[in-house]
Amino acid sequence: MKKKIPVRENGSAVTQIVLMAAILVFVIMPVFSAVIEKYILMEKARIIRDSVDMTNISAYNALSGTELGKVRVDAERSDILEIYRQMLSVNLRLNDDLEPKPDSVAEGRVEVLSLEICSSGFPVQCPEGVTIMRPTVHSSIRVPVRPSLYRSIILKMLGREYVDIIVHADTEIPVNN
Amino acid sequence: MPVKPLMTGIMLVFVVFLLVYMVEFFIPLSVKADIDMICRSALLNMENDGGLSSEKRRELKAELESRGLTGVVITATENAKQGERLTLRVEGNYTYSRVTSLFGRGDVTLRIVYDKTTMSRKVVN
Repeated sequence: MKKKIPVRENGSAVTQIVLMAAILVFVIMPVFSAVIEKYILMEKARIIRDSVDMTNISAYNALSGTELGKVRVDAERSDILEIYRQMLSVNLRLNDDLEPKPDSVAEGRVEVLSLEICSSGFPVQCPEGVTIMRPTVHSSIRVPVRPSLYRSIILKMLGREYVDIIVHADTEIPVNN
Repeated sequence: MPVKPLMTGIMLVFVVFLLVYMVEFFIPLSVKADIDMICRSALLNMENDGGLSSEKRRELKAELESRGLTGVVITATENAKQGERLTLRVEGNYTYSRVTSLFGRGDVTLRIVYDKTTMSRKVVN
């Protein structure tokens, strides 16, 4: 004969509240926090990518009209890099040394990882491995951003302050200048 | 008194409030992305045309207003030669309704700013 196990039907209301609060604090809020954190970082990356895209084309347009007409770039790499840095500073609200201004999306010193103008010998591969078929300005930058919500606490525990967003943009140059 | 169902109800209302409150965080982010896309398109046209004409400015303003932006102020370079800087700055207010208390909603106004610079591609002989 089976022994009937007594089932407690009326659980404690206090236990239920504690359980729901725990689910809220340890499940719902962290999951939502992670989602919104990811979304905010993606938005920041989009804003940075837009700026890099504009900067790429600006760096190219800043070169002389003759070079543009031939889709051939003979300018010194340092000149192009200087123009690029200037335009990047304007678009990302940075100082001349690429340190951020107070209203910048960046929260640490921005680093230009690579800048190339691919104008001949197609198809070529950019430093990130993307195949380029048309005249293109390639650039890649590292932008430190500070996360908010839970992630910043986790980062602080790991002894870090920023998340590095690496933005890579290959901007095609219009040939019919 | 049935304490347990009452507490469950209160907790559920609170959870729903919290979820709605959190989901509404995405509204301004989404609007900012839309506004940025419109402005970016205008700036690319400016790069090609060497500036923002009065007609294009009116079109841009109308498009931004159709997305819910009010008090739109557009500051843009009107004419630039090849290699000169072109700047587009758009400012406006976006008002939307969001949860402000447990059983209340209210209008919140956000200032949205787009400010980017590029170089003119238009070659003037």
